[in-house]
Amino acid sequence: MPLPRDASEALRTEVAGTVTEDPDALTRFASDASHMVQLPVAAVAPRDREALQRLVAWARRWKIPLVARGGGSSLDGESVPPPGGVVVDFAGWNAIVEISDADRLVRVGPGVVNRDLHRILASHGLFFPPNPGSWTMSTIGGNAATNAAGPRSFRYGSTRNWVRGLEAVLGTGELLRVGHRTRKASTGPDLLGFLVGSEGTLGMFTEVCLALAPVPERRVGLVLPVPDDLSFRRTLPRLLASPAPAFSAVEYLDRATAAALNRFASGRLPEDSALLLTELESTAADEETDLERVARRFSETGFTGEPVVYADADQLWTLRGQSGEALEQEGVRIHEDVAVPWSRLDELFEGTRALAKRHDVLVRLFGHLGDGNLHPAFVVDPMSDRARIVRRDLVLLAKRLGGTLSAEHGVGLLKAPYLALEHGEVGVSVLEAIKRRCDPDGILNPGKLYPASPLVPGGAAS
Amino acid sequence: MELLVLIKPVPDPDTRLRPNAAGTALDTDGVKWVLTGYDESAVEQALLLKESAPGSRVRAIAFGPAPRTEEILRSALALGCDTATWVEQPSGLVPDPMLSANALSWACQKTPFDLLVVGKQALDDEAGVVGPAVAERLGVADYGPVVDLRWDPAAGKFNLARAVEGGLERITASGPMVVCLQQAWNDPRTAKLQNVLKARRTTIDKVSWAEVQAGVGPAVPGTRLTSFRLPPPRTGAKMIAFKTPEEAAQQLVRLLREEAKTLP
Repeated sequence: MPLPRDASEALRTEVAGTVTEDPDALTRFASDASHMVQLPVAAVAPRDREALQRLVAWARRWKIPLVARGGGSSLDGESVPPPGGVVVDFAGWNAIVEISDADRLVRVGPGVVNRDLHRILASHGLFFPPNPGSWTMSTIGGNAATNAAGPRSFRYGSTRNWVRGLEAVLGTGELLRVGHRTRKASTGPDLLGFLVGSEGTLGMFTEVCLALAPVPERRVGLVLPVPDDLSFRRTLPRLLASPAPAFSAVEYLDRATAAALNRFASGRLPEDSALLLTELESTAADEETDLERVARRFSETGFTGEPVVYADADQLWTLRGQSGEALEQEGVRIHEDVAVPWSRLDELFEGTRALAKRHDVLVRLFGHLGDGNLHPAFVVDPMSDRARIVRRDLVLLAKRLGGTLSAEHGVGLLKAPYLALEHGEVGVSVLEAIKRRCDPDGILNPGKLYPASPLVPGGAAS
Repeated sequence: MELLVLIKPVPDPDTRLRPNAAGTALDTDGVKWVLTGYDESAVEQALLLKESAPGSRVRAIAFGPAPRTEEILRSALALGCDTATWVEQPSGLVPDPMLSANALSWACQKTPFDLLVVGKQALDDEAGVVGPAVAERLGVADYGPVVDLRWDPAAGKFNLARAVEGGLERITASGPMVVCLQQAWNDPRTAKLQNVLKARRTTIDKVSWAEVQAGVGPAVPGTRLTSFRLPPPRTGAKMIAFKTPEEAAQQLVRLLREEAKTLP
């Protein structure tokens, strides 16, 4: 259903920027990586902050939901338009506002793509560490909105650890600037923290200030076979024991995922067993000693196969980042994301395989092993009841093992019904109170994150 | 069988490239130099031939400035090459492909070989000169672009296939010869950790610039790069507002004719 004529005319008059209402042109905004589809009624690329504020005022007046969109790579429907919604397209907000070598900070527009930022910062000897698999297309705004992470988060943590400041237009139209250029601040609860991971439900980011890390002198990817009967519960603490090898990533790929990557992306991964993928940071002077030491550590902890070396670690992560797409070629439609403490990892592997068997679906397992974070990928119709039940059982399994229902993908539409399992009823009501303050009319990305929403009766829980 | 493989450090295709301030060369500041593309395929092919003929040895040879050239030679050693030769390129010298070919051929003639493999062109300048020019200097045959290359131990000959328009030309030939390889028809391997460590300790043979000059005469480039620039940045797109596809097509034709002037 198109926008009412009056609303459309008002939008074009009041908001400076590009407005698209042609359904053919809108199809590119209709989905994300979750396979859910909802055609928006319009897409707007506001020209500047003021235009964005006017857009919010317009949306409040017409009771029309808005969804902020960056690269559209979200996996749980975070950027799928709400019914009758308007997409706010931030792809053009890709300015590098400031690079401060002295303060190790960068200020960027929310539409800057991860890999582009990485390349720009390289000549400064700095980088923004969280590297989601989608880094060739995902944006910094999207990273901050979902608290995204990637392989190197094993050492460096999620996006949350690196966001120093945010500027956002709230659902009230107010401009909120939060954060500090300093490395620390002790000034009450963490307002910045509320916005990181808020999935466009509290405000839309107009600028992101990120802390940066110095680029390690050497980074090398090491890939080695995982013996079939290896217990991660016993092995991980030993592999990472002091003096800990300087791993910045510790990843797992099952054999089928490695084979799929080789077919899809001309990878050169060994295919005869599951694999451990690691990145070791070092210096030119110490690299040889560090590699010898890590080779010993591997063999002492049960990894008896011979490691192969990716001199360019980014090449390994770009390959690994295509796991989802590679598996899609082979029928995978659900890309899950749960994490448990190390001590429960074996149970997560066993439990996931058991639930796949119980529901008669194929499962592929890969993920950020060092973070206890697995991405079970299921071959199942994503819109079917079976898909919903598989997801529910996986969420319940992760919670039973003392884990989290989403380690880095966010909550979106698909996991909104389970939010209370994560935060408790009281926790959810506190979140809802924050939502009411920031977005009293519920125009910002309704249906996502929160179990219920004023604009979507019953919310995603129905 | 004695095998030589010629390689060259090239900028990582993922690096953001830009010209220097004078616009006369690549700004090499912050560039990561790698063994990749055609060269990587050439090393792989040399290693496959070595494995198919027990007792064979592979020597990697590269001409270029330190330290990037030594690094890619160590990469080649880590992949399984037995020995390596660095042909020194003095800092400040900007070689052209013929100068590179002269320097490399001087190093090649020091080692008797059965087969010399080289990528049909380097990934950076894509000149495609070095392989044939080295063959010419050494007075041996050269074949390229080759997409299949095998050793026939019974016949003591190489069987190779050249990509020609619409098909393959199959050739049987004896060494010594030069083969210029097409990219990516083999599946280059990844180095094993033990080999990486071993490669660090391997001594790389050096051919000094003075020796090259003594051998091939005063080496000065015959060509000079006069200008080096990025393509002009793309200008903004123009969106056509329309109600019907016919109207859109009419407007597009008008714009192509009147503004872009690409239609008469």
